Amino acid sequence: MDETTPQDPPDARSADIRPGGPGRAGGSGPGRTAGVGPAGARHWSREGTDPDYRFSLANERTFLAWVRTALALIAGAVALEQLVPSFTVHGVRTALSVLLALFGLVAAVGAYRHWARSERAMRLGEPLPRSPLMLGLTVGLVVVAAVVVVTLLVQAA
Amino acid sequence: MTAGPGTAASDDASPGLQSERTALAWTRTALTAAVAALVVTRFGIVRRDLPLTVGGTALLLGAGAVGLASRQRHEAIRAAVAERRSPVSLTAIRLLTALVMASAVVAVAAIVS
Repeated sequence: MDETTPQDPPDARSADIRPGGPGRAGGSGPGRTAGVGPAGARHWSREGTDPDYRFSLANERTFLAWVRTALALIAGAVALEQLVPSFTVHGVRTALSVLLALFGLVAAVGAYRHWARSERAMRLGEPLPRSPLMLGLTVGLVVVAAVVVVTLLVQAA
Repeated sequence: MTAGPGTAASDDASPGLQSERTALAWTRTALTAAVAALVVTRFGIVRRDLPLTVGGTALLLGAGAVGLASRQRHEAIRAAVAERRSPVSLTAIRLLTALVMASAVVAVAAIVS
């Protein structure tokens, strides 16, 4: 079992998949000495050894799920501005729309960063990085919901 | 979800339909991008805003490109797995990220215009 895989795959095929693909990893075999060097010599996607391809594809699908979240936030932002009647408190609807669209932008950038850092960690056999995206998006959406509730209460009063 | 004989998986080198699942994730993403692009385009048409309509149409074309990319990823992943190469495509991931960032910028422009 290759040390770079973060967990046991569901079957034993990985033995014939890796480690050390056809010279791709630049000869840094099991003893990956080049490890955490400054990002000068090689791009991260050439560091270490190729992980089990299933983990790379799972990482890609996770990235895609975040991208869909970002796109939904962006579509929601535009739909909010377009379809929801304006709140009596002036400018709140536009502010919320812009905020949602910016969340979408941040989610897209964060999705890419998290994908790249996860891929690199798997190549180097390091623990998978934590992503600030989950907490950030949760807090952001709670704030948006709270603003909507307060605005509606003010409007009803 | 076992790869039984006689299914599409029988000529797929990967168990668990890896290439197919990943291609379907790309397809879902393309559909979501198309919805976002249509919302922006509609905004442009309703407001008779030509730059916004053009921007929304461009995003729609981008969503179509993502749909084509899902086919391409399917084939590329199968080939990579068969040849024991890494299936990672830095280009595909970066282009998609750029498309979503562009969508966000167009959306903000639409809202504040």
